[in-house]
Amino acid sequence: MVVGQMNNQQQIVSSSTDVTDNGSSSEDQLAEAHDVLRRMFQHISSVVIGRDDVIELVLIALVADGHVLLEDYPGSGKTTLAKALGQSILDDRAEDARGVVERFRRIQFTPDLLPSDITGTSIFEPANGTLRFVPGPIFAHVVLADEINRTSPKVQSALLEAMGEKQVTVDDGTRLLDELFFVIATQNPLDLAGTYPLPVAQLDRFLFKIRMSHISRDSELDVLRTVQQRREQTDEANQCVSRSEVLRARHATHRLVHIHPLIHEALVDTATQLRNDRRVYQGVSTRSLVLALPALQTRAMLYGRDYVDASDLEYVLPRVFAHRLALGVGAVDADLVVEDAMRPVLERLARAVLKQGS
Amino acid sequence: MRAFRTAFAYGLMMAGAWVAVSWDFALFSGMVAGGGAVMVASIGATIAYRARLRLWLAIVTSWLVGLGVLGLAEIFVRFSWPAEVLGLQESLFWLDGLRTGGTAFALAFTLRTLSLHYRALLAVEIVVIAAAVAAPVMAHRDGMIARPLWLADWFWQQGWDPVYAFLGLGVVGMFLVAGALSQARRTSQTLLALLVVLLVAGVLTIPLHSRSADQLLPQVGGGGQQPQQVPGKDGENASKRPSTSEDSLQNKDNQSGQSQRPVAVVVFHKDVEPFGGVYYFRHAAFSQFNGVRLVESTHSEADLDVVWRFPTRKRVIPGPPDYALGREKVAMDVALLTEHQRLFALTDAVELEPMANPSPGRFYRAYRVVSSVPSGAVDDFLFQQAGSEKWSEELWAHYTRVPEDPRYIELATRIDATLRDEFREDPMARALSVKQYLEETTIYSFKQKYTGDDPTAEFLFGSSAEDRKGYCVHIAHAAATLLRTLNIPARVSAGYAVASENLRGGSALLVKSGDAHAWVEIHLSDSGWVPIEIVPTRKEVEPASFDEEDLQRLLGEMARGEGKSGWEPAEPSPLVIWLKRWLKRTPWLLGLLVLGAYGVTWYRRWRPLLTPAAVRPAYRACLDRLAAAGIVREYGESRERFALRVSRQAPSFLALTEQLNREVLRGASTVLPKRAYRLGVSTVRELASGLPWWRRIGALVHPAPWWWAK
Repeated sequence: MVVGQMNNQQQIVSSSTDVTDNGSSSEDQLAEAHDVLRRMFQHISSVVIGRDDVIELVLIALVADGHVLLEDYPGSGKTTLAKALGQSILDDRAEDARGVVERFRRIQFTPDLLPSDITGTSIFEPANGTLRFVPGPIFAHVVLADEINRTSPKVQSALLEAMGEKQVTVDDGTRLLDELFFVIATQNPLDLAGTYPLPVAQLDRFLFKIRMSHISRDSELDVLRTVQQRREQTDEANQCVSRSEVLRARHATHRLVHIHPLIHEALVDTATQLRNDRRVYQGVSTRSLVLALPALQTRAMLYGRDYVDASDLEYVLPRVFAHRLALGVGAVDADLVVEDAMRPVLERLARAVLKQGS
Repeated sequence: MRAFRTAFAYGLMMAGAWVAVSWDFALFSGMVAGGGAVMVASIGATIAYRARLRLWLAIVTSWLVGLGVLGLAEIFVRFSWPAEVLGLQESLFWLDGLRTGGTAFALAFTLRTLSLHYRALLAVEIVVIAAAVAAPVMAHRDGMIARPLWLADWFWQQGWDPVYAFLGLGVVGMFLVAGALSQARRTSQTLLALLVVLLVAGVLTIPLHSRSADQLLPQVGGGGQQPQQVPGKDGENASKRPSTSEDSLQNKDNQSGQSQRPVAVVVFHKDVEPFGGVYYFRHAAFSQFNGVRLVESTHSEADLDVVWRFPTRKRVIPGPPDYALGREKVAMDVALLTEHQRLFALTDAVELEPMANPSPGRFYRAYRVVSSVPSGAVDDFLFQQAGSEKWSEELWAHYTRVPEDPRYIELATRIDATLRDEFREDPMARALSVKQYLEETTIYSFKQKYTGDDPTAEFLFGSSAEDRKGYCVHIAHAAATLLRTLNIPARVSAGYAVASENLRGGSALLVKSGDAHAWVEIHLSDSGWVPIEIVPTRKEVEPASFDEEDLQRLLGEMARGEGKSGWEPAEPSPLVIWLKRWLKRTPWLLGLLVLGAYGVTWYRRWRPLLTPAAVRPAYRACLDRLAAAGIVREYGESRERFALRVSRQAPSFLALTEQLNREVLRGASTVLPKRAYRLGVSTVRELASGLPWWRRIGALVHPAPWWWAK
């Protein structure tokens, strides 16, 4: 929605496929990044109806180089969302450079899954007597890790390592994953029997944990109305941005969106507040603060700004911090805890802004 | 949870305040129900606030609940069956409980809700609580020492000086206020609230204090006419003579007899039983007939024994000689508890001497008097000559001048005729017969007023006997006029009359404003001026009972300089003097404060004109205007969210906020010249167009919106 509103300011559609800086001004680069997101948003929201908020978060995570964990009921469009996202990114590299990387892979996690089932394994080739690496489903732009809590911790940690390092280790060999490696993991919030819930330390790898709710009545009607039309959509029609465009957007955002020291202070102060909060058993990690920075930048960029302001903090921090907190007995709502912790910080920031102006 | 702990603490505090206030008017059930209702209201208000119930809805609901409970109470009034079922006493208990409970609930709920919504109103709540706690003790402050009696008596019984208890109450109240203030989240708000409390308290204290000083004086001036002018100004008095209200016998403060404010404590050096069982303390005498009534004498020889100036050195006053019949000399110390304008002394003072104030914190002034008190029996005063042989013709005329009205002569002769022959010429006996006549034919009352040309005649010869209503002043005048008609020198004295039985065996006597009195005195050749007490047998007013025995004893000890156990403040400290001085300047300071606030307001409003391109002044000016319209950023609300909230009314403010953020957080100024100023102007225009006219006026005259603009 916001992306849609912003497009009157942005007219530049870059046709360049070069990942490197093409020498245009920083405004142009940010405008281009914004346009990439806009196009993806428009496309995905036409496929996944009534989930604009989730799409926005997923896109922010994509550009911020994070991963998301969706918590939702079965049949609520998680796969559709991940698929639409994966398919919307056209791999514009030369055929031979692509290697084995797919645009979109889905892994259904089950208790009997083994780490090599997702990372891939070396197979003996009798013809020439060598071992050939057969890449697992993790080699893709967008990976949907469905029901991640149903598999054993062994497999979970293999995936989480891949998420953290962007590489997998198979048979003493380390293989890099694609630069645009993005995981959308899901878990069912209710059906917990026989599952292995992710501990807080592993949740820390996800930038966002998104709780989805049922979509509105109108949206649901829309889903039914357009189901046939969407089924008939060709693969090509889905491709609206290229891999290099997304990477360029990511680089431009990280490099060009300004973060004022006051914002840094606010981040650290919020973390301190959370750690000192009596309701919090274990506070947020420094890593989460580092992860939050690109998310803040992306949010700012998404709203057409080249600087991070307090509204970005308000939007991003609860979504980044809430699932990382281990709450003490009696505290239930992590969002509320984060909100409380942010209040004095935001107040200080608001006052500092007026004090530092001209 | 914290919110409910706070609510509980507030509930306790307010319940305490309620019990303190309702002690005097509510039954036990009322106090308990009121306290409980206040607790419930405090917690209920918190629940309603946390449920984000609208302010007006919450308040209206609470009043509906209160009215409902009051309606329930009406059942006990309208129908007889509750009384039949529960019994009369039970149903009275219920009625009182429901009534006070309902009222207390609505009041407490409203207060709590308001201060939850607007933290500044916390100050009001605190003032109400503090005032409620202070109210029962207020009488104490107002000169009624050791009031309220229920509290003071209890402390007396424990053997403690209640002053400590009242001080302790004050300290507890202070701590409560401090605790309540600490609930305000920010220091600035705490200070503001404290300032408001101080100002309100100061503003309330000054009028209360000055009132007690000004109004006390005419009241304690005595039941007789406290002359407004000193004798030297009588020429002026004469020129005003036709004015009826001034010269009539009417007392300006008819109810003074009802007030029981302590005026002074008298410590006798020797026991003496006065004539008639009454101690007369005189501060004025009226012997000169001015055509309407008796006023203070301007005659150079008359009333020389009446002294009203305080002594600066030892003075001897011409009074009855040492050998006077039926008189006894007694010395006493008088310590004034109020700023009495005139000296008063037991009749008749013969020696006056200033005295060191035994307790400067308690007494205003002290002096020593030696009086020649009429102490004999009636026999001592019989068979004497009226007046004095030393008197000149002129002085005789002065003391016996009467209105030329034949009715007086007729009445006096009629009274005289009731006497036995051997007493016909005896002045004391004739005076007693006048006393007897007046006691039988008049009615003691404060209601009647006599304002005519001859108020005394009006009182005496009214249309019917039922009309002879009056109090001491009227009766004394009537008696003096009748006695003078009989050629007995007589005058009216004013001051205080205290029954000797009030001494209760001690030597200290408490003089209260309610003891103010006027009485008639006749002059006998061997005894000097002798008071004649006339108490009508029929009364419409019951005399006040005496129940300040403990106080009298304590004050007596203090006046003797013995009561060191009592609270003994020294001279007011410089700090107190300084505080008083500044409190008196409060209105000016307030005015200055308001002016200063306006100065800041207008400077900040027009500041953007100086630098139209700068964002911050324009943004500040907009914040001020928004605050004046009642739109302020809440604690913890980011500027962006605030702008989004405001943008419903003033969309330009969103852009202005973005400019500010860009300048500060981006670090680079990409602002176009004059853009900030224009955005500010359009923000204000958009804001104004959405406001009703009265709010626009309110915003315009708001003295200090910048206080809230953050």
